[in-house]
Amino acid sequence: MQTLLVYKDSYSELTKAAWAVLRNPDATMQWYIIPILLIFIYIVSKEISEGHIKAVCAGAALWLVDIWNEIWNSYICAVSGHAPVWGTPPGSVEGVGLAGQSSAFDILIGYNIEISFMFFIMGIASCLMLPKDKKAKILGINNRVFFALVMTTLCVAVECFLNYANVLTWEWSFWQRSCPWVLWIIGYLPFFSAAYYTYDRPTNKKALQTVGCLAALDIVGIIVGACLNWI
Amino acid sequence: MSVILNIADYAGALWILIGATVIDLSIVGVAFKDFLSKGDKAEAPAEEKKED
Repeated sequence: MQTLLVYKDSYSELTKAAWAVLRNPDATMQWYIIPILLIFIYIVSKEISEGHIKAVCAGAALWLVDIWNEIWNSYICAVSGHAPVWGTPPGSVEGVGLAGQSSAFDILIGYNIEISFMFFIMGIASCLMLPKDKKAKILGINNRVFFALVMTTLCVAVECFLNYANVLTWEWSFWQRSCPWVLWIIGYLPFFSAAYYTYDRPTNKKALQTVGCLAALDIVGIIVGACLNWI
Repeated sequence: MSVILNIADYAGALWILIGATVIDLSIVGVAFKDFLSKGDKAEAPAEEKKED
């Protein structure tokens, strides 16, 4: 598969390793991704069959906002010639003490197929745990805001662990475990905000329209990135 | 010269980061405004019923 992202000698060692397996299923594909695909299909089919269309739309919204972040992460890698803000390099990079596991398929420089399934399912799950009354308050604040803050905090904690375990690499000084609030604001709060906003749209049609707007943003980002060899 | 180009590259990355942050925070702003709005949308239940 063609790699659009232009190779640069100035890339960090981790970025070079991630670039080498970017959209390269010959080198990375593994069987386990097929059962995960089926589990994903089962979850989405079940929710649709039970009439939870807005929960599926919310999952799609969270997934699409993540893709937006993954697109600009690729842009930063290409434009800086240094590294993406976050990367998912394969295991056993020479001279770097990484964990020995790799993704089955790296879609973008910091985005793999496992992350993709995870975010869609997380969007659905995080909406199914919401109270029915969108105006209800928890500890004095709106429950949607409360859940967005709690889920964001939990996700940032997991990200910090993944970084600690060397399966998610951060090479920019502003994006480190020492300043997790940056991840909190840019990395995760928009995800849950978009998911809950979509879930609370008054009709299924409006929820689908919201998903359509986010998809349009991503499509433009992908087209621009592809034309400029930035993704 | 290469140092100047390098700074220009990093400046480009910074601008991308700023633009992306603005879009991400706009998403949060739109959502939170909706969560915290006090007015109920009167047309919503009727429309939902029609869809069901």
